[in-house]
Amino acid sequence: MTTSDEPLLGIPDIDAGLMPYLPPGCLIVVIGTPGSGSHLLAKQFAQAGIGSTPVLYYTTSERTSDAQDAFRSFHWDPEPVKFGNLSDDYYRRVLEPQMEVSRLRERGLRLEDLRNARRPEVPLAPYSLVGRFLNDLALLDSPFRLVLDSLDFLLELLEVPDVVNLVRQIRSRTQLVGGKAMVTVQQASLDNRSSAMLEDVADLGITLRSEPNGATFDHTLEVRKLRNHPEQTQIRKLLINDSGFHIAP
Amino acid sequence: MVLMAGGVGTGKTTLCLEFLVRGAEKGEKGLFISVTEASTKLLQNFTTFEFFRPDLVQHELITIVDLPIIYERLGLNREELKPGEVDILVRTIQDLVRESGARRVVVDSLTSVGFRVRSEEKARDFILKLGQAFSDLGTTSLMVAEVGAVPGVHSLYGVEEAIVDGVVMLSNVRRRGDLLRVLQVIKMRGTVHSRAQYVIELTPIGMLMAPFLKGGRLET
Repeated sequence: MTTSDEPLLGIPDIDAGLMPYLPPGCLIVVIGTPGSGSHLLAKQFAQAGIGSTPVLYYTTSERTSDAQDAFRSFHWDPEPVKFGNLSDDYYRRVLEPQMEVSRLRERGLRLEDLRNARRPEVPLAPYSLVGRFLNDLALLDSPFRLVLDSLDFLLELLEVPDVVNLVRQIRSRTQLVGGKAMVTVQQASLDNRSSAMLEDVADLGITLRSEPNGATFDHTLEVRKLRNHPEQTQIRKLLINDSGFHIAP
Repeated sequence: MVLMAGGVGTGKTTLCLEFLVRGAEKGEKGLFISVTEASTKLLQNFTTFEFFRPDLVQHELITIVDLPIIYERLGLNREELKPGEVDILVRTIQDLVRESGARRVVVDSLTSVGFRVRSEEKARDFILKLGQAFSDLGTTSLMVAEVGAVPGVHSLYGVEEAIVDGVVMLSNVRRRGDLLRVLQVIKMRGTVHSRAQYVIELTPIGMLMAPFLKGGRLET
């Protein structure tokens, strides 16, 4: 059980019910439908750790500046959060060079392109997005709070077992040094088996849904899994205001 | 296209350099495509030869390019080239020859390129296409091939010697404690040539050649 008063999701009504049942090191898997607010919940979870532990926020789907602006729009200070942008990294290390290769292949190489160029000094190994992330993860040696938002980008590039393995490594690290981690993924990115594999790794499995209701959408949060405490599964209706998600009265 | 085949230390690179220098002195531009040695290091090595004039490079009468940089720029840096990538490589070399205005080209070495091509079929395809490209451009080219000291073997894949117009074999021969460099023209299509062995000496002023006298005892 957690010994800290550190909020879990940053939604007090839900945190109070779940926190007594979670170990100090835990993994939360959030599966969302489009528009259900998984990116917002990821940020709310991140900001809930500020002041207690180092907070790391890895995004794969938005510019870092946009993520920081989103924090501010809910009156959360992004400054203490260490941001990592895996999609930017991937773009810079893989897609941008590929684009340059395509350009040069199309245009044809010229002597000017070779002048003053240096031979590659080390054998060129393909860039590994996972390797880069795991390197950061391995450096965490004290309790931390980590968000990986989202797995969808990784699922485009990697095989499902490799992504699940990555999630297992995150969980393993949280258990080893004491930390809370959240990974998000869109429901549409997962088939039943992938979904089951991810939920199996999770200590806390949450599904966010957004269902039309007249001219608006109803947001719900389903606690589908709390390890060893099936009695704590629940469905809660959510509202969103300028301080993020909160429980509808 | 002529294959300069030989083992380590037989003088293949030096001979190829002199081929370019002698051409440049007569106004024929040359292109040296280096695979194994960095061009900067090659230039340092070349300056030890009196016959090499750095101004030939400065005035672009001789251009040296690094193939690994071409690989990197064109995304050809995986272990084995795909068939389409072989075409890209040939086209790029052709473009560079055309742009440099080279009449003489050296590829040092074909063997190193071959490590990326691997299969005999693809090696044949690459050499055929490269030969065609050089022929279309009207260049004379020397392809360096690393081969061991196996009698009768002048190429790594066994296909190069059949495709090229000429084969010059360079080898080391031990005699009375000396290691002699020996040159022999194995094949030169469309010409009548000597097939005798010649002893060569790589001197600062260039290659000197003398008949390989048959007297004396060879050491194996």
